[in-house]
Amino acid sequence: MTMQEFDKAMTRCGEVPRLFAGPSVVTDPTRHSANFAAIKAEIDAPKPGLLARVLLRVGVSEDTVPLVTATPALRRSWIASVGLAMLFALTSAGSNTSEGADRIVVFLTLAPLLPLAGVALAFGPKVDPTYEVALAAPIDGFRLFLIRAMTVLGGSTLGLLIMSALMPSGGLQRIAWLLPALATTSLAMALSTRFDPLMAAAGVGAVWLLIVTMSVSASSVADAFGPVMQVASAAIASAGAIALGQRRRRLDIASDR
Amino acid sequence: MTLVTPVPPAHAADDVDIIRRIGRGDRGALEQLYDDNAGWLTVRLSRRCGNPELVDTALQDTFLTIWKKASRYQPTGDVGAWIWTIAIRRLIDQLRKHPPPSPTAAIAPLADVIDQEVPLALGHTELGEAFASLDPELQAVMAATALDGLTNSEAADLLGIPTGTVKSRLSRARLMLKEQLR
Repeated sequence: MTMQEFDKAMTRCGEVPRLFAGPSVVTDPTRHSANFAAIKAEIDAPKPGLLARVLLRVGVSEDTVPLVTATPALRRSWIASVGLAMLFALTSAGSNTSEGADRIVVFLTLAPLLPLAGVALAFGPKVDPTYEVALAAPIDGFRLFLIRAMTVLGGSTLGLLIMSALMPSGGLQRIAWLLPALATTSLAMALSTRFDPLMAAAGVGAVWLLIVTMSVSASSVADAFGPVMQVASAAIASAGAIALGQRRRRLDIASDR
Repeated sequence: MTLVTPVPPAHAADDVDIIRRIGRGDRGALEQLYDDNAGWLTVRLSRRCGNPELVDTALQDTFLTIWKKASRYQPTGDVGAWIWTIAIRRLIDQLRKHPPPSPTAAIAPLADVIDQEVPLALGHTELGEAFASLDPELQAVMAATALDGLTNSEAADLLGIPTGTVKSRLSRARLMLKEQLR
């Protein structure tokens, strides 16, 4: 008797493994059918998309992922159209120095409107096909609103930051849209607790365009997006966030309608 | 209520045909393969893991893997052997995700495998006697590597011990077996 014979005898198990269960196997029929039901359910389950897989990978809970990925503003078409619009804004402006300044004005003016539009489109009966489902679901409406708004805000801010980095010149001025974007979004979210999200966003957007047009025509681009606007934006963003926190009950009631 | 089902005889040609049908997306074939094999798989997985939930998940994952991989199946030997290599690795995946609390000294690891499967392989021969003379912990690493065909690191996850310990126990076991079999 040798080790070769021993190894050969042992590997017989790998060749005919079912014989090694024994002469008969005892099956609990409930467990047997429950396991097959689970297999069928898994086969039928929709495959998570790329975004869902990324979110799961970075530790977002399985319950939250569908809420995020069902956000209408995240739909590929929406992202594509926004991207195209921004690229158009960037490239249609001229390339010499004075027109370069025009280009950055266009960018800085439009950039805060993107997250704003995204948040407006992330929630509400007019735009959200899952709105009725969300109402019937036992989820905190405020939490849902926040999750979706943050998703859109995060996504569009990331996109805008990338575009800022790609701009050939402008220095720090290229991200002068960041605080205004937070301010308009936070204000619109706070107003959404009382008004329709679309109306709130449209109002805030209109006021933003008015302010920018007035201050750019009154002074230079650098001044218009200078320290005064940045500080004011930070203040509005904070105030909006605080108001939002205080009015969360109101949003729940509004979404119960 | 429990059902006692005899182990179905291995009809190699039929089995390969079932896998082919599964590869074409035939649900009925998957269900047939499940009905024929879930029993023995559950028995053998349960001998290697005391947590029925992990065993059930491993069993489900096994058939999900088969569902995905069936179209690329190349018939080499027993279909049961192919299924078992998938099943034991899905079980090890589960054990890696949910490592059991430190192994209790009271229950020797793989005791059921050593009691019920090793004798089937070795019989009441000199080989069986040599194996029986080993310490239980050495028997366990031999069962995991030689019987189940696991790598050292897979055996380590199955037994809940470091890979280095598997290696050293394995070389000790083989040395002692050589002595016995000489």
